[in-house]
Amino acid sequence: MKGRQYLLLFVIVVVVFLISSVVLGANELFRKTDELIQLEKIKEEYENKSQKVPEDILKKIEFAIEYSKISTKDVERCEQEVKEKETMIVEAPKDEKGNPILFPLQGEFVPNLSEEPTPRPKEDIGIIKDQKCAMNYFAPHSIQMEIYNFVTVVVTPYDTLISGNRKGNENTGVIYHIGMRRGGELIEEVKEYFGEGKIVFESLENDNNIVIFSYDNGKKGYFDVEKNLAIFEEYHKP
Amino acid sequence: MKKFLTILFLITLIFSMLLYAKGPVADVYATTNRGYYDEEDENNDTISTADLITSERVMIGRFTSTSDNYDYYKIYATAGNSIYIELSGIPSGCDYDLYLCDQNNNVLSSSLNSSDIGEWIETSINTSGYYYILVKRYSGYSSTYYTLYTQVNGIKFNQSFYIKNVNSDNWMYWLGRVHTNNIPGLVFLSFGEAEKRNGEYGINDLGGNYANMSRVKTAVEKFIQGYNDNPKHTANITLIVGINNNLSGTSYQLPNTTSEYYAHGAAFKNMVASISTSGHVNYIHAGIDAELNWNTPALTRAWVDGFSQTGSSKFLYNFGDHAGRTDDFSGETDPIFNNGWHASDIQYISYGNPPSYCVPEIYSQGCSNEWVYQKKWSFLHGLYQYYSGVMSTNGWDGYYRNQESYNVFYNFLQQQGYGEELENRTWIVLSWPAQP
Repeated sequence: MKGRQYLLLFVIVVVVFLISSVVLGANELFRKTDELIQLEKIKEEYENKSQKVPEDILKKIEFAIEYSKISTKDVERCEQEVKEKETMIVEAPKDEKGNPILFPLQGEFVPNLSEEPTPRPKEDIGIIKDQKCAMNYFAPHSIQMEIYNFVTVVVTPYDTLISGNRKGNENTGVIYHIGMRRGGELIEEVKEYFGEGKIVFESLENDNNIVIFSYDNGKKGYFDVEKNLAIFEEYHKP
Repeated sequence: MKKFLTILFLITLIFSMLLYAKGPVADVYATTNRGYYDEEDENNDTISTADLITSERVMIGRFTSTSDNYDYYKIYATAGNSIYIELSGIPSGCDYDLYLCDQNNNVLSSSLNSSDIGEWIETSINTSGYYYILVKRYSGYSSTYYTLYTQVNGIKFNQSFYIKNVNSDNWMYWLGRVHTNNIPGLVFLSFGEAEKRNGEYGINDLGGNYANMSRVKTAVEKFIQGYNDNPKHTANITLIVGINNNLSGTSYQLPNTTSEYYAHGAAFKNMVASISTSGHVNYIHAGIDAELNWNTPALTRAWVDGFSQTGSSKFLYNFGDHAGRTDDFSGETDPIFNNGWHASDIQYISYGNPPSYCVPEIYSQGCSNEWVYQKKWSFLHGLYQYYSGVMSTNGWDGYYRNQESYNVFYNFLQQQGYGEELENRTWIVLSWPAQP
């Protein structure tokens, strides 16, 4: 009988131990993301003030817990990879400066600035867009939006030109030029044209390298994209 | 003779004025607007000819010949300040080193890594005065520019990028390996606008290049590989794979229907979810640069819903703007901003939606006002809004530099009674040279 009691006691202890391990360990089964840690702090603040935790916060916590559970294995794998990297750094042969010789650049990954990137012509060239599109090229609070009134935009093979005039000095035309140059250098420049008035793009010529515009209330001019030059004379086809 | 000369002078003057007033070519005035960097002024090869630089201003420099081995810069710091210096963009095949010296050219600190993986120095200053930064060409030669960033005091920002060359493995690898600094937190890669080509969802990057979701995934993987292949990268980062809500303007522009935006959001989420974390890149989430002027709330919300309601297992960070009003709108029921956006729409995509978080663009005082009042509005209307950090441009085009972005936003949140830590501080690099 005594043996049975001991056995029963043993079973109870084991069951209690297993249950408590599962319950207590549940919180440790996953790594909390920064987002979850922040949300739990927010929740705690509400609880400390004896306020009801908003439903939105609870939903976010629920989502963040689910994600934390999913991502825990990945985080642990990453930690293992970092440990392996640290070991590799310690064990790697050293160069003349005492630095580990690791991850040498190999053919596939040698960046060559003289060739990269190869400028590729845009696909949707020859499109003239309206004021709404022109304004979309700039952030709402940008200096450009404060200074200029943009009215048209044109996309040429390698360049985008945005035209208009200066706010408060409407007699000054403007062409904002965004282009890709050989070697991948992105250029952004603004050209102002005193006394020419608002510049409005109208059409494209010569394989989309000549942009015809109107200025000064109807006069015709053109922008030579290759020469990066505005000419305030009518364009004559060569 | 005197009369003749006077008449000749007057004629010349009038003719010149006419030419100036109405010449055939009217490139009268031009300014270069490349962004936010200064270029070194040669000769700065000795400590006595060092170029004076200011904190947080990006400097580019290069060695002009094989006999050019030293570039010196000087910066003022007072006792008790910290100095953080970062040398990046070292040309492939070259090895440059970085030193911090006092006015007697005594080395106070140095960073002597090998090859092009970048150099970092962080130290504190005991005595007020000028300090000298030396970039030394250790081996190799290239006339390509390097980038030098120096910061005296303040909070450090990690770097995020607008992707302009999604189709190049080299670029993406190099961006991760050479151009990303070693500061933990959220790193945003912003891939451009949503597109659909031949029935397949993709993106149009900031350089105008199309990529389908599979290509975007590969590009991100190359970035991760590059980041981990830099043996000096020890900081864990969370990568945010981003898109914006602008219309691409090409013939592959995503059709303007909520169902297409919803489906694109779902496809983007699936792509992000399929990218494996690795090494120091231990989390990967998604982002949306939702700009009010770029698209309607209906289409943007549809994209967010597509991302979130199709078995989402990723967070979604809004890193967009809040254009429209800088006054205190928090007392109004549901104020309206540019392009038909309401405060409730912005709250939804920034926090109300369970996977959504927000790292707002704080480029100016106006941006700071907008987002602080948005938080105030949310709390006053039984909704909630917290910010995971702050995004700056570091002075691009007249905007705030990093410290100003953080300080102005942090202080105004405090002032309005909604202060928080803003743990992630990132600087989105808007143009070359920081992005190759």
